[in-house]
Amino acid sequence: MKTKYKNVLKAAAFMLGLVVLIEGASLIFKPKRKYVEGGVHDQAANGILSEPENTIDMLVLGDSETYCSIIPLRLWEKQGITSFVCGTSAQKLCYSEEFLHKAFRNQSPNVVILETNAIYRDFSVSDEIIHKADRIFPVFRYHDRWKTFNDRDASLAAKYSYMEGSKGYMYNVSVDPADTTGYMKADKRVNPVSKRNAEYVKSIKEFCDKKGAKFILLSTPSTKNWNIQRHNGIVQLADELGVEYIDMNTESADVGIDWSRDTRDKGNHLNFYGAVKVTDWLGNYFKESGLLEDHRGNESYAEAWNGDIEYFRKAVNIDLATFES
Amino acid sequence: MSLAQCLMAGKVSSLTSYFSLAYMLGFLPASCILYSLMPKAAKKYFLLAASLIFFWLISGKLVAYLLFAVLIIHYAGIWLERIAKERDEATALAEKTERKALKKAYKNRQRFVVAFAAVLLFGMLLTLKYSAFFTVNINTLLSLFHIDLQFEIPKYLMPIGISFYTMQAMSYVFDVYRGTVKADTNIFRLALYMSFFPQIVEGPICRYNETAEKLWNVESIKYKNLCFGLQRLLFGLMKKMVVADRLNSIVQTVFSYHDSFSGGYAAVAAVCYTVQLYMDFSGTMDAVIGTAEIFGVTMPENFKRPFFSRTISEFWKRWHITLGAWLKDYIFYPVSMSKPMKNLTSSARKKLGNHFGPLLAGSAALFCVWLFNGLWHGSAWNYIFFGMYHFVLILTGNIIEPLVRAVNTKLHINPESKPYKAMQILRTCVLVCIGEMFFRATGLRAGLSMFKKIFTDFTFYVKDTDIFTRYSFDVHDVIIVAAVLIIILGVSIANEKGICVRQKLAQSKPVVRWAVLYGLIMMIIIFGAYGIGYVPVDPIYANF
Repeated sequence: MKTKYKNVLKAAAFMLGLVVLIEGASLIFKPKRKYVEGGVHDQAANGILSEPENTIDMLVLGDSETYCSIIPLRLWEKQGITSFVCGTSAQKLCYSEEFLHKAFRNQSPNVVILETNAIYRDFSVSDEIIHKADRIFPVFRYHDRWKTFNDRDASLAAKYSYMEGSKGYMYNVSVDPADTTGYMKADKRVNPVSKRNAEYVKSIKEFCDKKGAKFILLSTPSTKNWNIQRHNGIVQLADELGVEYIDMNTESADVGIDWSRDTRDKGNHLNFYGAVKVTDWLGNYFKESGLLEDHRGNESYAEAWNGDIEYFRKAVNIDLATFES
Repeated sequence: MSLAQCLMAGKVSSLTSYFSLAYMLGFLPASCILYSLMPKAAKKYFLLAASLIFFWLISGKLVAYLLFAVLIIHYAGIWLERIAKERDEATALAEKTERKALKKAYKNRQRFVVAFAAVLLFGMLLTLKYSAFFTVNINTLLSLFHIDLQFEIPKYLMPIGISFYTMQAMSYVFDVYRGTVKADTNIFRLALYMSFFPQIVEGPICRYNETAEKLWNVESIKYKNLCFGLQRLLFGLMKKMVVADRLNSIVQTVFSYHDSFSGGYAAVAAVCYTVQLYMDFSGTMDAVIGTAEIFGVTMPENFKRPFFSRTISEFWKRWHITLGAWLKDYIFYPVSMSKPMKNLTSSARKKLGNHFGPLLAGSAALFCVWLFNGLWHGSAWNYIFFGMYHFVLILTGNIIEPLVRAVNTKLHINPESKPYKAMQILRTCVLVCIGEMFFRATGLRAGLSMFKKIFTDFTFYVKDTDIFTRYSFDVHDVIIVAAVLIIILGVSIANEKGICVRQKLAQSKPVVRWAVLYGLIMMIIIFGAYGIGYVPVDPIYANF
């Protein structure tokens, strides 16, 4: 019996030592600056952490469809709406949920939009475990940073001051037309949402309810990623959860996408021209609904956001305010 | 999806890898804890239940094939033993002159039972694994001869590990037939022998007399076994995550877009794939043997430092040992010792002498072994080519052996000298890498094209640079892979010299032991190829 207890104690001590080591490694491997060069992943989406407290009214979650389709600076320019796109490439719902929680640390948005393509992205239990472990011990996420270690990593203090000038939007103006054969062709079949993913959407919705934010499901236009079966699946899910659903791929939405000009990669993602149409549609929608406030008259907002618009205009040589798609 | 839903659907595909979190943090710890809580008499039944649940989780309803195989060998064994018993009784009562004929009659009956079991077991394997391949080839032949007939290509779901457990099942039937093991009347013991969860996906291909009793007489988990088992698992994890997964980006890129890469890259990819395969498969074996060790069961080793082999024959005695032993015992010997082959050997010996005479029958048996070996790995022409490649290499080695000996004597070369041995090892490694290139290639044509480029275009350029930049593999990765390979080489040299590194570590001071273990764990966490930017390699042998 004595040996048994001794062995249990030894195992516990070993585990404790291991936790200390992993925690220590996490301090070293955690990015010290919120830049890609500093090893941080998803720099643009993480820009939400540096936004002044309680200034973002609309939060967008989802995969690459989000940062290719919604231009927060245009929403500001046209409607005075402050928004941020926390979209990342191939975002899984466990990451969407993480960004939601991250955003609500400093912000209290009135509207949270989840782009529906992420809802059809499957992930395993292992993905979830890794994701949770990442959050507790950053070394699991940033372990690869040894390749880019520099002097700054000798200091354990992290300084996150990076401001995301385009508020999560990724500018792309190239054109590669899409073939729209069969796109959104009427069909009663349903592509059901997996139970695990439906649970995540439900959990995001409940979090928003608790925080007093309106939760909306949005399908941005994409001939490659979206189809009527998926539309039917989300309609079903939205009904079950009692959530508002906007599908910009349907004729009723009438966003006016011209698939010969508004996509950068054969209908997979929208380019800037397509994004302008989506953003304007959303802006009008929120203006009509009265859900979001126009902050353009508020000086503290205007100074920061207009500065970003100026920076954007210089960078891409397009005037957001006057640009008409 | 909740655990209960996964259970019902049999959809936990991530469990197919013994390095998945679902296995290492879910299934294995849960099994160990529940196993420890079981009373001693129930432990073996728990192990059986856990194994069947595990197989169900990864294969769903296809578990029925495994259960059917258990039923087949259970009744075939009993049937064979009953015939043997009848034979013994009949021969005891028969006249001496009649005994030979009687024995022959009973032997024929036993052979019928073995053939019956083989037809059912191999029939399942052939249908599920090879029918599509055969149909495609028949259709091609029909088109070649302008015959207006095409068969529909069958599509079957294949249970994971079927190639492994079918071999295991047949070895039991053969052994009962040969009388080397007694037929097991306990179907549960037989089922546990067939389905033990750590070995069901990728082997090793165990023999009944090696593991069945040990599994049935399992005891409580001992602290020493737990530590040793986990250490071995950890070592396997390092091989898999730090080396095999890290090499995946370069291997996948070059083999998938082989047309865009020059011969230099093809050669590098062949070496990388050989290393990757070894690290993946031997790492998985470490996990399998380590897991079994936790339960106090010693599994047969599947690798014995194969890259120290001086010849291809020796390589196959050190690589996937249990497959080689199976082929030797149940194909090579029965074919080479069959009556026609014996007659061929004795007549050839008179005409060709003592070296080349027996070689003829041996080569025929060898051909069968390598054809089976190639096909066992997969239903495609490149696997058959892979088998034939090794057949030709071994056969050539056998044929030129006297010549090499004579040349060595003439030139006063000591074949036991270190430089000569090193040359032989290097030559074997090169030949193995070439074979593995064909094995991994996306088809026989692709393999031949890559092979040709190595000799005609040994440069380093990429036609479409966009392909290469999509994947990340830089000098840092090379350093890490090299460092781990040096560690593994060190351990291998020590083992080759008969030094058991694990035993040495166990005898060292706790500070040293813990430092080594912490080092190993931190190495996996920091240098493991996981997370953003990496695509882990699927368990390679699980597909065979």
